[in-house]
Amino acid sequence: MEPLTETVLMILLSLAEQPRHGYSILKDVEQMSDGRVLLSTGTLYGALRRLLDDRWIERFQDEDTSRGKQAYRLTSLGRGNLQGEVARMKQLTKLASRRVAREEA
Amino acid sequence: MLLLYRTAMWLYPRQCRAEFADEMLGVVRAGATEVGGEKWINRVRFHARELAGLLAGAVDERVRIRPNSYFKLALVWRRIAMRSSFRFPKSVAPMMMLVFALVLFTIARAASTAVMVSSPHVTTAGERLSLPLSVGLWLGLAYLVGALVWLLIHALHQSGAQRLSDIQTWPQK
Repeated sequence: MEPLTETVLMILLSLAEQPRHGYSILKDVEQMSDGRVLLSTGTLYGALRRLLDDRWIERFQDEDTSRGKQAYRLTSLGRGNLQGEVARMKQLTKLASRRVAREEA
Repeated sequence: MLLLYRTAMWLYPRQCRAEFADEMLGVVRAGATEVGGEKWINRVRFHARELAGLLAGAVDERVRIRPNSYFKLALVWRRIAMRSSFRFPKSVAPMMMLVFALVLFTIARAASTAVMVSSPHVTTAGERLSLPLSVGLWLGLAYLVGALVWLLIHALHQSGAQRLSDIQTWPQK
């Protein structure tokens, strides 16, 4: 699997916690990244559309769902791929830490 | 502003508009309400980011629905690419502006010469200005155009739109 871009990773991480609608994803991504990643609506929905096409996320009907407020949640495929990506990043971080520590020693 | 966003939505393909337009406008409206009480610079940043994002998203969707489109190959955000690793050196920008200014200056001189030949008694603005002043004027104009283009690219970059071309979400077979 290709490494995920930061934007897609952030969106998936936001949805990993709970189903969210568009604006809630934007705010959560901004909060998670301490204001470093500011998604525009166009960027967000471009990514959401691709993730829907690939069946990584799905639409979710909740009480708050109304016109103009659609919630999304991760599918099992999306969650599995996210876990795979997190495992890959962990391995990479571990390797990097080991190398840096060896260099410092 | 919302009318502007609503108009920008018409740039999206029909299917995409039908599926996401209401949601997207709802999100923009919520964001606009939130920044409504903030400093004007924050409001300008928000609207610039949103507009650039919507325009970039519309282009991306248009390209996506046309398989084998030439533009699909040619359109890479953040740079004009003839191949993926190609980048123009930074010196190209001032050089291009200089060439642009000289071209504009030449056109203006040619126009004033034409007027002079047909009506010798008419004095044009080009004649009244000295050569260094004319070059300076055109260079200033070219610089302004360059700055506007840079501002647009910067706004697109801030919106994160360039990352759309990097999105790879399909699972490995």
